[in-house]
Amino acid sequence: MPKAEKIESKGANKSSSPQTLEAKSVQQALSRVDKYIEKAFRNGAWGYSLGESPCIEPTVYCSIARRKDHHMRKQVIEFLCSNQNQDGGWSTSPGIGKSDWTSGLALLALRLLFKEDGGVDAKHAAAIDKAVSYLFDSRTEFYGALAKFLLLISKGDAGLNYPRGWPWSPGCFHWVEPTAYTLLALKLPVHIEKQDSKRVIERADNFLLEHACKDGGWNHGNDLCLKVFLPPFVVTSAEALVALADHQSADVVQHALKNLPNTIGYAGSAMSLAWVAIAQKSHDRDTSESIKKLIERQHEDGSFGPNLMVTALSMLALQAHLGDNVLKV
Amino acid sequence: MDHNVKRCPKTGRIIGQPQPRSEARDDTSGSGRSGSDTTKSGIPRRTFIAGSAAAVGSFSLTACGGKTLTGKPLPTPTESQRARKKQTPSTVALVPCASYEDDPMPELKKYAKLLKLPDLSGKTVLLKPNMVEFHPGSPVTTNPAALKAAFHLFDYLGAKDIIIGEGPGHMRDTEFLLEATGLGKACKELGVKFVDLNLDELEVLDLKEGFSGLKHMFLPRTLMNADVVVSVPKMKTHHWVGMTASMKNFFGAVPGRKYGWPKNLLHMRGIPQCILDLQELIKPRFALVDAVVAMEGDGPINGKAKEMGFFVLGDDLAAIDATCARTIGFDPYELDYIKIAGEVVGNISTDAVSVIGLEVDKVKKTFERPVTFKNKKLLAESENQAS
Repeated sequence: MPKAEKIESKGANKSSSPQTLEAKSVQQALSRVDKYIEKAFRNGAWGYSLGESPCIEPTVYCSIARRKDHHMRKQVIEFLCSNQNQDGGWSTSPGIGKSDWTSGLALLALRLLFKEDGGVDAKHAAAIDKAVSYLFDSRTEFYGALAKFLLLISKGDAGLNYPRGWPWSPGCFHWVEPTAYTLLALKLPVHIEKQDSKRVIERADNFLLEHACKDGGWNHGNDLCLKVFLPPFVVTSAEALVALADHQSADVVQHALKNLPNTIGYAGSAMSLAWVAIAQKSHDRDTSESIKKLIERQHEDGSFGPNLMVTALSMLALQAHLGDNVLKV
Repeated sequence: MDHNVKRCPKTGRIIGQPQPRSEARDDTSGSGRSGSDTTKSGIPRRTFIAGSAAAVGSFSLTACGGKTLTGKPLPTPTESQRARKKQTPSTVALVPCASYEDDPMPELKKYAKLLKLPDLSGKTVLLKPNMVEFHPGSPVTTNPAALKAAFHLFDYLGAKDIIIGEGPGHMRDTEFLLEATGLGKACKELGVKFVDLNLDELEVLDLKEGFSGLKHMFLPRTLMNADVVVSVPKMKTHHWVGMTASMKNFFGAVPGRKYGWPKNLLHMRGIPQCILDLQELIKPRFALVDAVVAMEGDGPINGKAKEMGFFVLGDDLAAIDATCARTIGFDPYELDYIKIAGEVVGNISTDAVSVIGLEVDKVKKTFERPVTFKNKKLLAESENQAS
């Protein structure tokens, strides 16, 4: 039996019993956070904090967490589609500059919300299509036309097949986090079907796989800067692991999973615990410890702190623990 | 009435007003930029096209930015940019504080009087510490004792409200950073509000005559609404720009929700240029630099602790940074952003900056310089490295 499969089955065995034991408390935590997020919903969207203006990122996580609410779903879809920029992307909030890193997240929400409705309708299909085109076009470009030509004639197709991910801001370097978010958007609920999509996903996967830290896990971008090996961080590592759940047997992935408890920031916040739990679940690992610690951080009002994105992410982690991991690639 | 429309008291601009999507403003001027990369084989991808690097327009891209990544020479300030410079001589105080265990308030109050810091009655003051990242046991961030000292000092000066605001530059997990650095506990003990500047509501500010080439920037509303902004940084060496203190600290005021973590756009536009543009937009009034324990060597993250035993206080951030540089054995004129700040922000020459309190020559320690200063080739090679 391959090594990766052995680890998977171990994790699956471990996780079955604690899940049953904790199901009630997890359900209670889930119910409380659900109510909190429901109350915070305004005009088809959520802000980063209660009462703040609508923002894409918290809207994405909150709506995915509450995706079973049909009425909410319709409003969020309208909010996202009506605030899509002409280039097909989204800005952090409506009208706040050029399309940015939140574009991948917005597409992720749309695809997952439409899945609940049984698929995208004709009216909104164009929005999805434009978003995918935007994301394909907004990957970090390394070479101009001349260099590409030289690469092509010297190395053939392989010369142009270099790993490429996505930047935070248009035209900047590619980074682990926006690449992970966008990969999720292209992989969920199923791999997007468009010309070149396989290659785009493959290159972005390779960017993550090739930029892992030597200790296991991910820093923000490269593993090495100015001749210094950089340490992995928990949030970036967990996000990359979620995006690479379809590469479970890769050594880099196994190494990162093993090293997750040693990464900076591990178990240090609701955000890190939620991402870790989702990553563990995506790789069929035991999530009991992460979820237990996460629930300890739940506030009396049901939230996991003032940041609604973190609260929604925590809700997704609780759902994942109970077997409904919507971010599982 | 649209509740979303609000006017910034400092700039008078309408803030928080969504723009039509078709007219959404660009974040940048000019075209997008190219990046660079390495393969796991260790071969820089562009090596094979070495001779045509300029032609293909590839640029260095790193997390901690780089020198002038656009390849442009450092800017020569225009007359109107020079006109922004403080026109009167400056005074900077090196306030003794041997340890974070000590109570610095008697000395800080004494030097605040000597500096003639103004009465801030009725003013809302935002203190901006440095909480860029966390490495256990390493003095990466402003010490909680220094933040408390800043709070008490500006409370003493009469501030009506004091807010702590920071937008961590590298890590987006602010809850973790607040806990790990002790700055969250300090905020709780002081009973003061902490605002995550990475996620705050945004204001768009025009950059009519900036250095970075950006047409405008998005900045946090809380920061721009504050009457008085105070930089409360940690004094550290910095592998890209030599040293970071009061001015560079404002990279942490740039909102991650728009620019990401790290805020790569600023690095691509040139660190010195963006430092200067942020000075112009934010207009910080004071700085209290934490130099009780500083960082030498491979700062701002991977350096080593160096005990210095003082705070640096004043109202001219260029003068403060120039003085900080002198205390660690740097000539401020060799640090690009400080050199230009000396032309457009404030005073940096010893003729125009009086230092009170501890004497520079007596506290001066020659810091181990960042690796990029020992090996200048690294900066050029770093274009294939990013984090």
